[in-house]
Amino acid sequence: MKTMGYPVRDERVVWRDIAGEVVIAERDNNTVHVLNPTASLIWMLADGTRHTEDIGTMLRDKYNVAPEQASADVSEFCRQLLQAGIISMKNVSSEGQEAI
Amino acid sequence: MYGGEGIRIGFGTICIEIQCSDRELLEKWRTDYRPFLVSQQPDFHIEFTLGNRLTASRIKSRLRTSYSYVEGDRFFTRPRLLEQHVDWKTATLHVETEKELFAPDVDYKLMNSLIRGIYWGIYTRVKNMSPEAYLVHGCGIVDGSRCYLFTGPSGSGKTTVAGLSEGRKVLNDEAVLIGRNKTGFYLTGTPFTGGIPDRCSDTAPLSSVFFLRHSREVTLRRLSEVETYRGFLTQFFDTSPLHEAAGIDSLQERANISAEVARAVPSYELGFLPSRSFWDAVESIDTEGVR
Repeated sequence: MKTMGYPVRDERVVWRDIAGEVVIAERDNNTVHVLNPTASLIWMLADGTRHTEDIGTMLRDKYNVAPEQASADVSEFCRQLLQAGIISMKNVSSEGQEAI
Repeated sequence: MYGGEGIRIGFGTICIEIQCSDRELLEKWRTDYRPFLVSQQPDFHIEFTLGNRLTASRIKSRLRTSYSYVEGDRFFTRPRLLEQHVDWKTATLHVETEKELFAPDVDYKLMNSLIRGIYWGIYTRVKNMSPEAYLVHGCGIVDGSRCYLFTGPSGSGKTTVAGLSEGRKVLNDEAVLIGRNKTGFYLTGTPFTGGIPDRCSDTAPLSSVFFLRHSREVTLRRLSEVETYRGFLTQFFDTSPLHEAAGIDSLQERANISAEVARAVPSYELGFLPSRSFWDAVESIDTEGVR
């Protein structure tokens, strides 16, 4: 599996856990994102201290899904948030960047 | 020292004194703001110096082509139509403009934008604190012991709701203050003009929030916490520049209030058409309990 790195939430966004769902408000453009429970968990774990592989493992344990599925979910979610500019990735290897 | 006569308008816990040498205009404002006239010590002063160089039609034409500029505490337009300078030390805004800017057919909502900016300025630049209550887009209605907030973007029907609320008190049809105290959230009326003339300065505990949606029939749907939070977060007047100047993160504060409203206040999507029938649905909540 290709390594992505350590996702870190953008400090400029404002987010709240509302009844188990994370809602993210971007500061500059009034965009509001509502995350589903799986994405909410990934978001809450994306504090820069956990590798995407570790987040995948935690997701697998919590939702009892196949390891490949958990990894794919984490990768896809991180890719979307990177595109939106509301997370960054620390220590991304060249191999990992290709995976993104 | 400015020699013009003045009126004092109060809403929430603040008072703004408006001074103007033009008695005719001052009398117009005295009528417009009658429910909000107070005699308490003002927190802020607006001093108007008015010219008569331009006709209403000329002003209309200039409004279409003018640009606004901000330089420090100075705001002005080019071509020249409005020049204002704020002195935060004396809590005074000096405004030089044309009298016909306030003519009914020009309908330039200068007073609304001045009062709105000054409301935030009093807290962030004079008192150096977060506002006690926040301005939200919404029509506030007091119906007996109940108080409702009907909210939604421009054109969603807030003024229509106010116009269909005979026998009830309208706090304002466009913008109200929302604050919280030990017992929960409350709404307070505001002096903003432009919609229906009847509005009042009352404060009442908030019972329910309704997000308006045009519909061919009256529908009522209880919103989840997430839906309420997401909807409410975008109903605040954006005050970020003034708050950031004072070191206050307004988005964090708006998020906090929205989260608390979502948790504490029953909220609904109200599909409505311009008839009083929507009141039956709204009042059914009280008789049937929270849906």
